[in-house]
Amino acid sequence: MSTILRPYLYLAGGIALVLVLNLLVGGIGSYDQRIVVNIGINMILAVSLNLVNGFTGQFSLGHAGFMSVGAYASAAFTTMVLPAASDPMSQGLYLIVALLVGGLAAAVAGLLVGVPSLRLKGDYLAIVTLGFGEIIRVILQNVSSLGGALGLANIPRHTTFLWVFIILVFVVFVIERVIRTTYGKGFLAVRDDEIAAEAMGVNTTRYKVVAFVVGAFFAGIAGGLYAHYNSLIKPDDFGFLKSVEIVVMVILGGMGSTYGVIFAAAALTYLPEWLRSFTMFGIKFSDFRMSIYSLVLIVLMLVRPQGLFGGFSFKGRRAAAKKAPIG
Amino acid sequence: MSEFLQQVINGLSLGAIYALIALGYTMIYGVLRFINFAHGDVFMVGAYIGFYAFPKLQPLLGDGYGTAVAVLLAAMIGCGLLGVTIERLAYRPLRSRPKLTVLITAIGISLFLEYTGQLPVVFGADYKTFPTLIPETTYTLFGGVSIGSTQILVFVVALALMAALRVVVLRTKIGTAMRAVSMNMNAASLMGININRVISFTFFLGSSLAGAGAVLYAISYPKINPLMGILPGLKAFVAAVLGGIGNIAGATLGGFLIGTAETMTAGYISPSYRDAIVFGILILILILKPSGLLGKGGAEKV
Amino acid sequence: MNNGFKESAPTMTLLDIGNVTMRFGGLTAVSEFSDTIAENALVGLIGPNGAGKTTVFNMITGVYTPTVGTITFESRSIAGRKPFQIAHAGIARTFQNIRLFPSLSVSDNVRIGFNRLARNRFAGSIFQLGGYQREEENFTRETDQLLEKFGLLDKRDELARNLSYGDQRRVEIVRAMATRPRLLLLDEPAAGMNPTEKSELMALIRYLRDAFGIAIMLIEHDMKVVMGICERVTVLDYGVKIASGTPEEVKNDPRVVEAYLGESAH
Repeated sequence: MSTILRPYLYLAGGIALVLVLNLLVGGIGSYDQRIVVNIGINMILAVSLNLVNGFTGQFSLGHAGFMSVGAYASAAFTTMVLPAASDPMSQGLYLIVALLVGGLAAAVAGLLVGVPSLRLKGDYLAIVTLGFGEIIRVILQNVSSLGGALGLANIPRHTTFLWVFIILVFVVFVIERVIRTTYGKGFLAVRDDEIAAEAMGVNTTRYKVVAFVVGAFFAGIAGGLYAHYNSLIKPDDFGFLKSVEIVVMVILGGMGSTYGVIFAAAALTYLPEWLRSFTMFGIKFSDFRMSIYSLVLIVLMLVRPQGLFGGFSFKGRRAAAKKAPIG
Repeated sequence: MSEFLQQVINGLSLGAIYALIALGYTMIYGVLRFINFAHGDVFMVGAYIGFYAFPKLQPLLGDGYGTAVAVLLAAMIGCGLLGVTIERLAYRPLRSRPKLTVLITAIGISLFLEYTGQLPVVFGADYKTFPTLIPETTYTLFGGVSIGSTQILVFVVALALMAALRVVVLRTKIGTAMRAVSMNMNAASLMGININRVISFTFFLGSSLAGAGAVLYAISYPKINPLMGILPGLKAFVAAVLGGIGNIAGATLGGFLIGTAETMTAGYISPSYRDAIVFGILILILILKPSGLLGKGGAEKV
Repeated sequence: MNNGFKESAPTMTLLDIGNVTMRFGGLTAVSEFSDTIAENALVGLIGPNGAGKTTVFNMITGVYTPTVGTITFESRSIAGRKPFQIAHAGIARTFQNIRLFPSLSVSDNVRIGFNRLARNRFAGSIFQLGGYQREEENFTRETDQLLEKFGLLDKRDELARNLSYGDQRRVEIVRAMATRPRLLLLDEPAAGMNPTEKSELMALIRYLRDAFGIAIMLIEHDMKVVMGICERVTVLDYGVKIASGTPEEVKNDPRVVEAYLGESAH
């Protein structure tokens, strides 16, 4: 079969799978549906952060910040600019437009954050992105036209299972496709050895900014989906903890393995929900679930830091970081 | 003018607490080159140790300063031991691993302390009121500027601990070993220094300062809960970076600067931006001078 | 920008280093160093450990910006430009402590060399329209051709980190060649090799120079290698150039002997 067509067949297959699943999802309860949609949104977040943290080897701890920019921009656009939509056709159309607005706003934020901070490395970059995320949150808390700390309410519920997962299929398609090209290998080169990549003519700064902006764009779209699903968004929905959650999905998924990251996003979204209803020896785990979650994280780092599906281990980067002097 | 001076006094008293926490960040960074994300939560535990120790100690020691000092010591020792335990169980096995693995582990510890603290069988998620350790008296200085007895206690304790730390680091054998390890761990180990002991000691020292900071914070702002460590922890971290992480004098300076900047912002701009200003400072310093105010510049060797 | 393998008079100066000094804080790593490399030349840079040889490479390739001095490549000033720009200008290098991309395959390591030629950037890589397919096929073909020339074609799909030490060194050279350089800098290419591998390496370096028409400068401690293939040798000691000339001249220079053997040589 032609190599030109094959990727599109994957794309078509992915969409077909989503359509079939959509029929099945119609039959489950609304509580479970909510979990499934949250899983999908988290998958988009994790796959997009994986471009930055996994493929490009940077360490962003502010993904929730970009998500919030997308959520607020798209929600504001829907509630303040677009007219009300009644039929599913225009609802879908309006959602797409609002998501693009949210994605672009987040991409601009990604550019503003990325350009100055990408000179920093490792935990310093992590801290700066964390700081930016917190600043975005504090600003949102103080903008009264966006609802302040109480949040923005009455966002039309345009997001459906179908939209979330179709968009996920496209995000995976884009990232997996780009990463296989000669251009896309540049991201991996930056991760593996920045100095060697530069010496080979790769503009590493440019790559890092692109990864940041594209990652932020998709995070913004995920934020838009979140806003149009929950109808109410608050600055605290996008705190430091949300960023940590997404980072953990990427690490657990193996840093740079898209499918591992997708699986980890599903598992980590479902785990706390499952613990919520889990009882053993008469002890209700719902109280302990977040303690268990954090313990799992610690044990994982001790036992299997390369993630459950780690193709790329941290080793390469540690070696690169350690052998600092070129002679 | 008097309002300004009042803000300075309030800022310095808050800053003294940040400085104590920042010292822990900076010392641990100094020897291990990593950011102990759980430090703010060790601080939180310190406040609870004080909270639970007070009713036990008060009948023995009465209402005076004796109880206050005992509560302070209890929190310091408790936090010190907690810090040593965390290092022993979670960080030591990862010492040769990449820094990011350790950073994630530290975040895991931080979350674990926060969530476990919120369990009803541990501290509970609700706010608790920290007991009054010393009678609150307000002294008017001049032109309407006043200082409370709590603030005086904060200054006295913080400055005494900083002086003591200086003596330990500069004058004692273990302090010399700490400095040696922070300069070059391998060389220090070749010179016969027991690295593990030095690191444990550093964690004990840094965490006990956080414990002291916690008691001082709790008598200044008596509402405590398991999430109380997050913001002071982050701000103290910013203070450490501002002063030049790894630099002890820098952490002290940074603490006072951050405390003052925060109260000034709250007083003159808007209380809702008091957190944002701190992160703004962090970003500016990291972009303009990542080595901090007192940190050594030096070109990064590629 | 054309950095192709163009033909020109062999005596023309390719690289001109004019009085460069590199200071790190109080330490002067290289002091008032000048040298030239002619087109198609094969020259050596030698000196005791810590003499500043790699610092010279790092200045040429833009890792460091010289504190003072000029570096001109093909009549254009390159001092202070970014490493990737200097790579685009036509200078490639290898590293003393091999720096391959460990998690990429051998062929992807080489393919990175074509990265700068890829006209399809992010958007182009998503849609993959027009000449995309042809472009990628060209890169694949050229990668395979290069690997074949160096006898590495059968290892093209192996991860770089799984290669033997000798193969890693060779892949690093092939990767550098993929950027189509006019000047190749080799930092201790023979380090860790046995005598057989060393003689193979010497043949390889000569072949590179002759078949691709490039100039090569190499840092090397093994005097057999340096004396065996270099037409001209420059000697650094404590950051200062103490001698320059044919291998014979340099070998007999008393200052060089002293630098290598120390005061006891008197």
